[in-house]
Amino acid sequence: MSRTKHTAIFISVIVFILTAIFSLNYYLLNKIDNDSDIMNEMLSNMTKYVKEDNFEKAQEEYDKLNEFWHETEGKWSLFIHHAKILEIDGSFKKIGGQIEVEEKNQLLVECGYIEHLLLNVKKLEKPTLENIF
Amino acid sequence: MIFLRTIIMYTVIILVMRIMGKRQIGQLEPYELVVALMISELAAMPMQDTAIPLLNGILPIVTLLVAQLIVSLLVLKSTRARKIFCGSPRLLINNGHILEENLRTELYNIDDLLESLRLKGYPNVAEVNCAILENNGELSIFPKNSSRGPTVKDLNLDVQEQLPVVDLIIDGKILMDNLINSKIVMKNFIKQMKRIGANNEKDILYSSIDSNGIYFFQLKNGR
Repeated sequence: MSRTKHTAIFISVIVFILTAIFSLNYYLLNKIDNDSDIMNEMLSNMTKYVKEDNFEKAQEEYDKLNEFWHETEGKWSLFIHHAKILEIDGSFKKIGGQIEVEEKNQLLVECGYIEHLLLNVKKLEKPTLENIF
Repeated sequence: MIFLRTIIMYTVIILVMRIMGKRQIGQLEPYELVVALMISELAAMPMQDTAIPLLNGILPIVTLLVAQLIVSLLVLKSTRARKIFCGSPRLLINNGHILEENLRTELYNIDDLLESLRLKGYPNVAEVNCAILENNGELSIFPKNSSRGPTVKDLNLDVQEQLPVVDLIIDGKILMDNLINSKIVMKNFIKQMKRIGANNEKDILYSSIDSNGIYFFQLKNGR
């Protein structure tokens, strides 16, 4: 094999792997960004209903949110530390129980906490200088 | 779960090491040693802790592979890059005289030097013409003429160049490519096998042929 051909193969392998890494990274960042935005929007709606003491609507919104979370959870666990996922999952379960017993104050606190957890996941995965160093 | 994760990481590392090349498993240059150490650490974490996604272990390993490939390419193409990443060999003994300044530059103390010399069979510094500290940390030693053994050239002998021995059967399996490359006729080979009491190749543990055409056979079960 000639030297030029050898170098060309070498460079092609490097470019291929780099493209794969960056594409995967881009996909993952987008996925986390979109999913947490959707969940935060549902969470805001739910919080609004809870504040209005409309627990029936809040339950409907929670069911939708819970379903979406179960779809997302599996995908997120491929690239996010499982402890963080368990924490979010546990918080969702608490919200479910608090809606059932109509515990308004606790529910609002838990909603704020889960919103913070979701924002944290999004923030920690961003390619910022703060996260790099 | 841990079993599967370990198998996956093992496969990834084997692949990565194969792509990195043979030097990675032999004598390491400084930048190669760094990669080898980091890969072992990165692979161990997701293997032990099932809460860490496998991708978090695989992605940095693949990134290291890319970095390694880029550095290898630079080292291959540029002498300057070679100097930066691999360093350059340094003379530690010249004409039986230890070069203190070079020892200090390499942070190599005199005990290390004497130990390396002894390990290579030169207990006396005065016997060494020159010693070079190579990039992989090995010490190359060139003895003085008075301390080295005579060579074929010194003795003015006419010795045939020695070619490598070719394996013909390993663990009862004939290596057909080697047989063809050595231009051995199968009929003759079978005759040789029968002569030592083997019914077929399955009875033979190991067989080879040297550059003079002399066969070596060892039967299985110590026969």
